[in-house]
Amino acid sequence: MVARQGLVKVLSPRPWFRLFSFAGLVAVELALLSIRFDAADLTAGYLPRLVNQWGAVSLRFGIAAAALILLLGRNALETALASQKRLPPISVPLVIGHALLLLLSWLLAVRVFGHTLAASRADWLAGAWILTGVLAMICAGLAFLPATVWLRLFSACRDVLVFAIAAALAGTWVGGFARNLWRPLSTLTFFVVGSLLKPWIAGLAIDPSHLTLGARGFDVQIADECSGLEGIGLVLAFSSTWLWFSRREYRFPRALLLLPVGVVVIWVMNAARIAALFALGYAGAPGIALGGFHSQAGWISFILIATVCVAGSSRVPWLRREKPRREVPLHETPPATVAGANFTAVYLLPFLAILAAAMLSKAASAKFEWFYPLRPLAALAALACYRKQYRQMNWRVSWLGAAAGAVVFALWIALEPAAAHGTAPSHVPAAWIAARVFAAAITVPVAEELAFRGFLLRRLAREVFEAVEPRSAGLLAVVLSSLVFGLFHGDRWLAGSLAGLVYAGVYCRRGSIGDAALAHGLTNAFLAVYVLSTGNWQLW
Amino acid sequence: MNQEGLMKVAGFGLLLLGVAGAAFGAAGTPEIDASSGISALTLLSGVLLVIKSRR
Repeated sequence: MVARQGLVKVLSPRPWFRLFSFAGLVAVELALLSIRFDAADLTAGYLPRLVNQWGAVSLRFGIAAAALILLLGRNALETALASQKRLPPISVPLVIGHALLLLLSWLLAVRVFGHTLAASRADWLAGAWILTGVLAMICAGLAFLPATVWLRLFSACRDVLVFAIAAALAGTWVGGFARNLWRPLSTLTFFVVGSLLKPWIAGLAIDPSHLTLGARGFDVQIADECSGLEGIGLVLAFSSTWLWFSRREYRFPRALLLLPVGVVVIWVMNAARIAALFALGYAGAPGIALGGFHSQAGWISFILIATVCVAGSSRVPWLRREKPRREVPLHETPPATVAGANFTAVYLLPFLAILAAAMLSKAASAKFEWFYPLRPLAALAALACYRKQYRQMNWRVSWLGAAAGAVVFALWIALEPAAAHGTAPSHVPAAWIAARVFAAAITVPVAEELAFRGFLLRRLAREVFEAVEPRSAGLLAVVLSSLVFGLFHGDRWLAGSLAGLVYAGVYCRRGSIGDAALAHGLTNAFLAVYVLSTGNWQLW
Repeated sequence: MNQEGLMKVAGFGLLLLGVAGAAFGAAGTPEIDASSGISALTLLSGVLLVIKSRR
């Protein structure tokens, strides 16, 4: 019943659903195109070389512009679409036209990318390929929304469109220009790292001509890419976006001070990160220094700075205005059972604790994650914080949850490539394996079900998620939350998404977070037994 | 310039800076490990959601 209602929603004639369905279709088709074909293969002819040179940049520009239009033009789009309550049915002839043109475009792409062609012939074929592709998109656009609605949307978002194109062009240009700053910044970073290390490291060899530091056989070169520019970019992107969305809560222009402060702090932390990396290697742990620490420390610095920037600035009256309290409509009032708590924290904290512990544990590891037990410990600590609220939730379990767990396990094994068969790391202590199994079967399922089903699924249905009855969340929320869950499983995204769908189905069917956690826990427990009995560590 | 005009200029500048920052960040340097990106950004988003909902 839930599924049928949801399906009607997805295919409904409401303009927003049509717009997103069209955007989703285009995104999937472009993704397939970019996976199958490599622009680097285009070397013959003027037009193919143009695609080779500008294809990736244009795609980045298109994504940036589309994201900006959706972000900034949302109100204008909503106003333009508000008058269009219902639309005519999706045009079947145009959908067929889209499919045929897409097929033709694909066949042409196979020719353009797959053969050594004469330059003039390559130009003609590439021209036909691009033209059929554009016509296929136009067909799809007109199939989902009539031309009058598109014109109304363009007219409503004219200003945003101009800004989005200008900003996306500026962003694309800055991305290329940024490379010119690598060298001077990495030289500066080299001198700061040298100054930080000199008082502590005896016999530190400093070579400014190659930007290398060395002592006791451990050498580090500050390459151009270690300039700190990427961190600066992330901080600028994050803090300016944060200030934009919270602009009514901050006092301007003084709040803009957060930008240079963030830039300076992240750059100094990058230098400190490299100094710490060197110190680790010098102290006898080069594997950790160049392994986990190198890959995680940048993110840890960025997350710390972003969190301090947001949480810290909210406590400084000089920067912030008083935010007017939002009146919550009576029908959105959350149930009284867990009142008084920060609902978002109740549902998200265990999962966030696992993520944070994983980052720290990986940062302290070389190849094998010896500190894995930190993860279940962090989850248990977070669960203990809100134990009163968890006691009031629905933890009833049933045979449905158990059966779902077994089905997902079978599905997971079936979707695993036959060739994948990792080997067991040597000398793994029994305590480590016990912690791994405990986490897989208990803490991870509980934390992930609270986050993905208890929070995300219901949050996608309505802003006041705690008031959403799981049975009424709708198919769209079930599908989207399952896809996000799947994406967290990397290469196994398909198996992850299907597993998410099953767990979400169990949750929506009985409204019990306990049932979903039981299903998830059983899947993971079966997988743990499978890994330990077959030695297929690839699954862990 | 009045308050509203100032806000518009500041907003435009912020957005431009955000896009430029993202482009900086996408320059393909290894100091921020891409394979850890999803977990790190999820952690940050979750922390921000928790902070926001506290207010």
